[in-house]
Amino acid sequence: MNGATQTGFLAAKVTASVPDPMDVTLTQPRVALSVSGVTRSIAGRDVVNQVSFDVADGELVVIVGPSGCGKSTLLRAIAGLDPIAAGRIVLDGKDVTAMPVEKRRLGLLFQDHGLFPHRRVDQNIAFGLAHLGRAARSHRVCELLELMRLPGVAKRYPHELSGGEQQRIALARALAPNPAVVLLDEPFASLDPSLRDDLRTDVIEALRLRNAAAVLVSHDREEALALGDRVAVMSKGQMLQIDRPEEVFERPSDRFVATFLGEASFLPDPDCPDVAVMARPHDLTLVADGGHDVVTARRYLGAAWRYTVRRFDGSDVDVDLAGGPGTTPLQIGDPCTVGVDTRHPLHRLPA
Amino acid sequence: MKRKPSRYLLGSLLVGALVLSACGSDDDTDGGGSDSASSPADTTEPATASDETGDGGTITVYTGRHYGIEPVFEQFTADTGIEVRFTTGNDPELRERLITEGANTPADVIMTADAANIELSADAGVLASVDSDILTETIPEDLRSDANDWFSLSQRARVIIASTERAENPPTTYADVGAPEWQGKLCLRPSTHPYTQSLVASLILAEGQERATEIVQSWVDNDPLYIDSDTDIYTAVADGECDVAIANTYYLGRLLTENPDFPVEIVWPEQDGRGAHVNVSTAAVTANAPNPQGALALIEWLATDGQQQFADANFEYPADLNVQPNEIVAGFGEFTADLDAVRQLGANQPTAVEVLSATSYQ
Amino acid sequence: MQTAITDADDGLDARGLDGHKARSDDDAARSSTVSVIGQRVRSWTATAVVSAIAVAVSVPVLVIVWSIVQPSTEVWQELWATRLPGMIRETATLLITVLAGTLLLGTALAWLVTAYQFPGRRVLGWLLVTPLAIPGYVLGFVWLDTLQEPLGARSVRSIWLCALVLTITLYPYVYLFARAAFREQSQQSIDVARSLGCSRTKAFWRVVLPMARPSLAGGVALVGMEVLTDVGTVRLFNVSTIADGVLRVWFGTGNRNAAAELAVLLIGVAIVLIAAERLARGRARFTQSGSRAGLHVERLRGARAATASAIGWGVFMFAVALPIYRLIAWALEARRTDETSTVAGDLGFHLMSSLRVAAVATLVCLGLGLLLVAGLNRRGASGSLLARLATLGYSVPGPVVAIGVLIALAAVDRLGWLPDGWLLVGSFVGLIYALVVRFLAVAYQGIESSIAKVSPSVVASARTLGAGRFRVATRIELPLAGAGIIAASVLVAIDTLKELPITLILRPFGTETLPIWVWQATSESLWVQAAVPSLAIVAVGMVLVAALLWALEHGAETVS
Repeated sequence: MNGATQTGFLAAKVTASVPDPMDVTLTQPRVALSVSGVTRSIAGRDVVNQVSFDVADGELVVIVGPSGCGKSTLLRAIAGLDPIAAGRIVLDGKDVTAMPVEKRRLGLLFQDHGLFPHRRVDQNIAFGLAHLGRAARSHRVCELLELMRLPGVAKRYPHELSGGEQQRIALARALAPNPAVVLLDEPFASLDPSLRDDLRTDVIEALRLRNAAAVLVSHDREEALALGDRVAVMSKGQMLQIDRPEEVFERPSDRFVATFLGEASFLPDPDCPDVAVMARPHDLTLVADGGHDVVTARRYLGAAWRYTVRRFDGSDVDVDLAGGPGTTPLQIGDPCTVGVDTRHPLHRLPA
Repeated sequence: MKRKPSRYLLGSLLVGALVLSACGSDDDTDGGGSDSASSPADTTEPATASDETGDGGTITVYTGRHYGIEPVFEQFTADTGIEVRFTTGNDPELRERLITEGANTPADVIMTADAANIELSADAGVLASVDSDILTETIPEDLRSDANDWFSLSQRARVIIASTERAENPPTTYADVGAPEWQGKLCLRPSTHPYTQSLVASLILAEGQERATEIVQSWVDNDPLYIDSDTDIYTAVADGECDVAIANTYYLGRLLTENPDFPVEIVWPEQDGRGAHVNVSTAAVTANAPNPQGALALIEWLATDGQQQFADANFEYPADLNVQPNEIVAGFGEFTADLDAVRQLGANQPTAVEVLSATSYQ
Repeated sequence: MQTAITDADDGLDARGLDGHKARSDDDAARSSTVSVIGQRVRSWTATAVVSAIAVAVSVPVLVIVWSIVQPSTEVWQELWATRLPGMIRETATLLITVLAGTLLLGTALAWLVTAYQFPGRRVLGWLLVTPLAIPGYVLGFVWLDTLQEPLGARSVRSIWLCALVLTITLYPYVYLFARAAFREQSQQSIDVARSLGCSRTKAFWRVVLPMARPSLAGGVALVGMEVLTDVGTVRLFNVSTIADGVLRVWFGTGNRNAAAELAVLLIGVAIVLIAAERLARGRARFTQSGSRAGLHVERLRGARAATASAIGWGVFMFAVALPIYRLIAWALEARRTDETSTVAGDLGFHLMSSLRVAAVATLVCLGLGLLLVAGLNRRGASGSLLARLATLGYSVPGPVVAIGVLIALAAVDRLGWLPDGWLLVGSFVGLIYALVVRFLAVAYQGIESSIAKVSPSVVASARTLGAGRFRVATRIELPLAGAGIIAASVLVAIDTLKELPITLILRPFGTETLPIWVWQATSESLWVQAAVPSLAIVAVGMVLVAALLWALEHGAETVS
């Protein structure tokens, strides 16, 4: 679990989903956070509607959805910053539904670090450690700075750090009191894309090392699929599906989930009229054989060409064809035929 | 929508202010409203005291005695035709201004409510010696300077006052005010006021600095209540806050007008000796007066025709001893006044301040 | 006025009154090259103009200070042996008490109206600013007379009552600054603090209040200046402060040198106070990053709402409503008993004088302030020095400024440059000059921080769209900073409206302002006759306060 150094978020994720065979205690991880039937209304409207899910120790659940779907509100409700109209929240074995924020033991990380600008880094990190003695406090601060790979910045002020460093310190501060659950509200959104990968790695690793349960809210689907042990898709206040990333991506529960997590085309099932077949761009083939389908647009993605094809029945589908030297891309207007890559079974949804 | 109002508001404020400043003061009673630099004196010909009504020119007066002064000036203008424009202020500030202005001063006359201040002005050389028979005949020698550069117009006695109800044996000398029986029952004016300073200066003159210090110290030891207002001192005596105090007589005049049964009486101090301490309201022609004739005219008028009005306006005693004070003032009784000291109050004022400081008089 | 939280601050730190959106450090760095008004104007004309203004405005004070070169030791020794220790003690007591009082009252009230919602909160938020309209010497004599009977003449003249009066008239400064700071803060910091184990109350003390510190310090600094230079209110209560001592020595002994030395002591204290605050702040910053959400407002119900309302209204009653009621009663009595003077005529005349003086002085301060800001911005050490010179007059009591101006102008008059017979001493120009010397600091600070907060990307966009520097300055920056500039101007107007000692000494013929009328009555203890002009001052002051509040409300919205 804490062996080889990780590079790239893919590597981190791969490690995370494979349990360490040497860890004998990993039979059934304890549920750190249990949310059941949580509803929050604002001005009569249910912004969060009957949401239920659990998070285990050491697990990262990413909640993803379009803006306004209620994901941030849900997070704030779990934190206790906003009251809920119905439901229960059980944190670390205790029912905290009626508890004020300061009594729930959790960590919060916001999009813009939220570090106290008038305090030094070490004072920021030590903020939640008032119950410890001075020696213990500074030991914990050092520990966390090591964890974040920022050993030298203790005496600096937040404005003297770079964006990525600020988020790391913010995480250190949140982790300092050893919370059972850490809540992260779009923590990478305000950083340069080039910095995001490194930060993601560090954040995941830090959470892993602490064996903390984490709920991360994001609007970035790729980030969600890459980071989460499980991904939850929300829309209009409801949690539509929560499952492992590959499950959610390959077997979405409805059209919304399907299209939110990636490009998807729905083809009519020749056998059952009220069933549609979901086809991702890489599930389809395209042959420029003068058929009845026409290429209407194309986009170069680096790894592949993505063609938008107008089918004979008027529907539009996206098809990915591998790029690379030696291949000739199709042109707009080329007549062609769309086929299905039958190597793997396709997911079916109600029409 | 939010930005435009800022701009238009700024603009209209600007226009409004320009309009305001362009309008001179139309209906001012002091005359001569000026918008930028003050304009030169309106007269090109110096006026003589006996000019016809309506063409007498203008004089400028700096006066520290401002209570009730406007009707007096108006009467002067009615009688002589000379216009008066005046500015009021505190005696020492007006003195500073006069001294600083030097040759450029627009002031023709300076009037003070206190002898020491006019003396200090004389010392600074900003007063003019005047040759006037009227003044030398009307104003007693003690009440004008040797050099004839300033003249008293009215006297005010600073006396001992006592509660008619509670003070059985009020002190009869300033030294007795410090007697132990008045411990905690004394009201005095703070040392910042010229009245107090002049009183102590008169003590120094009469008893010498050492004895004066003792006397003042005995006052301070009686734990007096310091009140920077003679009216409030009278009220304090009437209300029982203190039984005995030192204050000017003229305030009693005002108070008796409102309430003839006011329970405070005047105790004339030092009647067996030098007499009660008097201070004076004075006037002088300035050394660089643009209109010295007009200035002299004012002072002569105030010493003669205007005496009654000037003194009565403030319930003071006229300087011209032949002029009778008004009824209420006369009702205070006859008294001996320490006139000898008046001219030397100014010279002893800095020492007085020292004494007050040394005794920790507030 | 807006907060400019930058490292290099000149004179008194620029402080915010109407709240601003936080800007990132990148913005702060960029603004030096993008803002037109703030842009460093390199031409020699600019340097000359700015230096000329700074020097012209500081000459009267320097003239007074110059006498420190020849110290008069005997007077100093005498002072030390007698009054000076007492003066220092009383000044310190008064200062500390009033600073603590205004900090407590202003901050508490600001928090009350910012973080809680209860009936009447909005109106109360405005009304709590109105004590600004009442001069200290007016409130002083009202309370002196009112409390004379219950408390007795001896106890009523105490340093504590004086401190109370000053606290009441001056807390609005802290209140306004604190309110701006609290509006600025985002709920996020409190949320984070709570997630780390702080209760709401603890979060207020450990996070909200410390982060508001620069604004609070700015408000307290203003209060400190006012207390140090006050001469009217302290006299009423027999309190001898250093400022009072300056006058006492001057006019008592005629020793201008000694008085000047005391004045320098005052300026020194002021500088030390400001430096101490700056030092204590260290390298810390106080703006939060990016977040836009304001404070979460808690709705109060029932007894708690009633208590909140009661507190706010109680303060207002005590500070404003009761004194006004007393003044109105006196004014009516004056009308009843007074046969001779025509109240209406006098009132109109004095009112016009006051308005004229205040309007012109404010405009001149505004104009000079703009020029100074344009010329001084980011000039570094020399700019800092010039700014300090220009704002020197604010830390000097009125009478001292007046005498300094008197000396300076008389010297110019002696040179005879003006056409025959025209004098500066006793002229309207001279009076305005003195008022500018005294109050330019207020205008400068406010304008500087307003201009600084204009978003550089807005300015940059305008310039890329082809607007020349003048157009950008007048059409973009001024309107955006406009509300803040108006707020600063209104504060200058309020100060000049209430001003007494300078006007008393330097006013031209035909200019008798309302405070002069008040003085003429109160110097003879005729409180009743002082009521009408006092009410007029308060009425005009209220209009100005309303303008200030309007500007503050709009200032917060024009910048996004």
